[in-house]
Amino acid sequence: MTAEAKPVRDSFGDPGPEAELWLVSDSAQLTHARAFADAAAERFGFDEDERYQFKLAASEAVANAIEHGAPFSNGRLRLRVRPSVDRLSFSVEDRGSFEDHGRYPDSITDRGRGLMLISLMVDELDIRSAGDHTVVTIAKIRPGAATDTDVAAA
Amino acid sequence: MTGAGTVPFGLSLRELEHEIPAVCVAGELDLHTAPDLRDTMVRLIEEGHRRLIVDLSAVGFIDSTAIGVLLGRLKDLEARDGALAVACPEGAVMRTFRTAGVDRSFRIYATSADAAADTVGS
Repeated sequence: MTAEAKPVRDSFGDPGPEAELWLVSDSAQLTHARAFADAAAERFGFDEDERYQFKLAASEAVANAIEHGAPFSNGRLRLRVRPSVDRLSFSVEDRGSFEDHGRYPDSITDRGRGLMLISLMVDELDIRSAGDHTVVTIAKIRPGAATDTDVAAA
Repeated sequence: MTGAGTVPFGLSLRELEHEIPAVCVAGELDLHTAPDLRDTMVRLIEEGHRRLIVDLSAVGFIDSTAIGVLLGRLKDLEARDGALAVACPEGAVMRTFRTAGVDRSFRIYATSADAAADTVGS
């Protein structure tokens, strides 16, 4: 199974292009999801620790979609990375209802731990669910840019 | 594909001093591979082992599912008055344990030899 990142559009070099990957919804594909996230994090200029944190948060989000969500009719999940000046975003989109996930009591502990890890590794976690459509987006702010944001928000 | 340093997933068993089994893991531990670790640990516990060592020295990535597997077997072993020791050098996996706040749940040692030395006495 080929899982190549396809640029959606060219940007002006730095911070790198947006990209998307239609990933087969199978846990064996998680390594491809991590490679996709890590390549974007490297292009964005994150250091080794920041890359690992971004990759781990992305992996948790995709694992959650594989385990509890539902793929599109092509059997895949839609992954996207979107770099901007101050942050790198990663989203995973599926056709499941996020609320349904609570029906698996055995998984609540692991799922809770996954969401906790995401929140510790990145700066933003956004979960949007409407009907049978869920998008989980994470974002990590570029070090240095965080201070500006904090000052602006204060 | 996953960058330099990524090795294929694998599990192997070694017996350390005093018949303490060490499960040596290589590669990435995630939703896909963690069940193999769980099954191996469950089997060892069912065979009667009360002290286990999990050697993560060759693991480059660990996710919440794998952490859950370790915490679950720690609970199983403690219920049997047993012990779980984890060998994990400084690196990304150790930082993940710290960030997740589980670095104080396990007994963590730099090497499996250190883990065995202390587990014997526990």
